Amino acid sequence: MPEKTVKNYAIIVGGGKIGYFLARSLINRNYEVLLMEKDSRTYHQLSADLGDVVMQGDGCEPTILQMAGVERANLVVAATGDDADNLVVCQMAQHCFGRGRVIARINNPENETLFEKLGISERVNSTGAILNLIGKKMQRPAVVLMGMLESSDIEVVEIILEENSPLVGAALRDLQLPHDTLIISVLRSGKAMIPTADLVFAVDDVLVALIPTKWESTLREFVA
Amino acid sequence: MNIIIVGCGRCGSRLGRRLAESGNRVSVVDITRAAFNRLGPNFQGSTYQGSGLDQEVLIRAGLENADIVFALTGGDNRNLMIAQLVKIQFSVERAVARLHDPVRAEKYHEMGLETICTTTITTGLLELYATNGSFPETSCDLAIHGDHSMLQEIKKQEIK
Repeated sequence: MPEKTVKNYAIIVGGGKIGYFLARSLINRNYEVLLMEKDSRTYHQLSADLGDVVMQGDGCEPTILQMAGVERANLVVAATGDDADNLVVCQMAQHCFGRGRVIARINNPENETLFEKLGISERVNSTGAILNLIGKKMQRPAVVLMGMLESSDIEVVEIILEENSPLVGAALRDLQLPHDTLIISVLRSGKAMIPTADLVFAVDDVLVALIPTKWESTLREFVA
Repeated sequence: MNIIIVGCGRCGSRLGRRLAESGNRVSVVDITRAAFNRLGPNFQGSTYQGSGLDQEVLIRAGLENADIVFALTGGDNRNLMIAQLVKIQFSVERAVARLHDPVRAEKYHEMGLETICTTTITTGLLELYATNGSFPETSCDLAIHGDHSMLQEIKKQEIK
């Protein structure tokens, strides 16, 4: 088989952080890349770094896209920080030239539906993606350290029972707790209770327990 | 008619004032509150501060009962997005995007969006002036008095 000499050609519109790092990543993957930036200052900074790969121009203008060789591009990425600009880049690339893949960056998650309805099938909702990641990090931990008993290795922890916790539905008497661990209170609907052996745990219960430090990681694994 | 104008610049404010004077229910949206000063003290319509790309703002401005939306902000792409947003997501039948770039105006017109291009109109009139030594009478009226009915006349002049 003859060696493949035709490189994939990608046009990236918008030389912000995303466009810049995408350009570098695609260059490393052996793409032919053109990074388009309309602001002259940003353009000069980018071209000092990336060289001929950068072109100054407004990717929303069909004539500029044509100059950039949009007709032979396998991929056009609209990566600016402005959704209206990204929409027009994609629509121009799709409707006027109609070749290759078009990917839109979406900054305002609300615009996702509109882009979809307008036939921009490949979208990256950058804000939404970051929000999701942060949201995952922010999920309340199941075990919260409240403090240490003075001069000891005994911790006071709160164990929050999520819906999928193995403790939900179990009675206190059925738990096989290590002998040096003690559940001292259960907070339910804002009220603290001294638990009896018959108590059945429910979602959103918060157990206050005394545990030796050595059990903390085991406990986290167990309730997660 | 219920009319929403997005962008209260020279064009949006003038159009808003005139359409309100002729008895329409006009809502004007602009991201800058100070822009509403252009409407003058006797403006009969209502004003909404906020981004014209923000669906909530447009809904507050009465998008669900709008007969016409004019997208007249300073950005071509924003106007294109607003016009498509109201047509596609809110089924407003009549939406016009004002553009400066003739190429984009033509392409989107081909795609079924109503566009009006300031550059095309101005160059068209100037071309007629260059050829005929004067502006066509009707366009002068339009320029001076802004009479809407003259738009049809201009079209008849076959300005490209």
